[in-house]
Amino acid sequence: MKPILALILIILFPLFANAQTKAINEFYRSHKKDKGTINLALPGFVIRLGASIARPHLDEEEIKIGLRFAKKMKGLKLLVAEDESTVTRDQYLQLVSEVKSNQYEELIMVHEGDTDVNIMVREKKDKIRGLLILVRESDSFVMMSMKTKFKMEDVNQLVKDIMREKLLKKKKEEPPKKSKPLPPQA
Amino acid sequence: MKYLSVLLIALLGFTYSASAQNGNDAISKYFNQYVDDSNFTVVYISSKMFELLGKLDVDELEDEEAAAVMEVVKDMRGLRVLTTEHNPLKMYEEAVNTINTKEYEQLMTVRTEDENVQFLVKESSGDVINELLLLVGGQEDFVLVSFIGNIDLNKISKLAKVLDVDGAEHLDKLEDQPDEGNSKSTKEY
Repeated sequence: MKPILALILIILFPLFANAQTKAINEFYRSHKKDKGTINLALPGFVIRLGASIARPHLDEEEIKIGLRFAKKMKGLKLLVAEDESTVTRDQYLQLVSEVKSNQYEELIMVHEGDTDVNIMVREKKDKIRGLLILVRESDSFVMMSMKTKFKMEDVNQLVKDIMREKLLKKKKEEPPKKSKPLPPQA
Repeated sequence: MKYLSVLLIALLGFTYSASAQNGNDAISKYFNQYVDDSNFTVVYISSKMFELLGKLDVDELEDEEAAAVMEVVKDMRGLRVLTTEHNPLKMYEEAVNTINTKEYEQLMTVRTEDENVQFLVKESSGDVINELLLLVGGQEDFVLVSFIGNIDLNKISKLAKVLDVDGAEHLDKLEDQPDEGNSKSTKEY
């Protein structure tokens, strides 16, 4: 009996794993062919490859630091609709609610006039497994969903490196301090 | 009988924590009432966000401002902002009447010709409080800001510099507070 149970669990496991991002995937599928919508789905190895090719050609140190982070990305889905988004506010709110019930937790929510912004995260075993950024205006919509395996230490390192870079830049831009003239010797 | 008591306590505990998470207090209800209203600007930063921010270690950096903000942020558990330019005085009065005066204690009131500013606190002990509520009502706009967490009144004003929301500048007024922490004060200008 036990091997049968184990076999059932092995078969069902991918379904459970997939269910965590089911709402995002379904939304992506149903809107990717909307008029005026740009859709992009990249697997992790393509992101890593793209980042390693682009890195040596960049001058901005901060972007280079950010690209180091790309190594930890396992996939990216992007939907961008400008000027003629067909995503209604009800559909947007339904997506937010379904994603929340799929283990995503809200980080930030902003609602101003016709604009909505939601940033959500899915964490498992101290790793950020998913990051979802949603922006909706009356005529535009953006959904960026990232599958990741960031640890908090990675985020820490990223913040430190970027801040250190900014401080260095600030110091370089500051005019050199004039040294005080020495007092006349007796 | 012993098991029954344990079960009852567990059940009560669960009900309490569930209601706390759903935000059934007066301010949460008031906030949720206007979340979808297009006349209002709503900002909500969750406890999860503050939990993640709290894990960041910026001590090694020489950026004093960032370190000071992180010092405040690490003990925070939530931030809600509600602002509108639509009937601001009416909204201010409604908010003041909604607040349970048994729950909140008035910390400071500033009254000027143009606007009323109220700071209210919840469950305070010394300089550390569990919620700081800022209400601003004037001719032009209404602002409600609710900070949740272990908040040190002496440090919260540091957030004013980085919070790009209307009304946050009033946090500077807390620096003028007397040392006794939550002693009440009313100022008129």
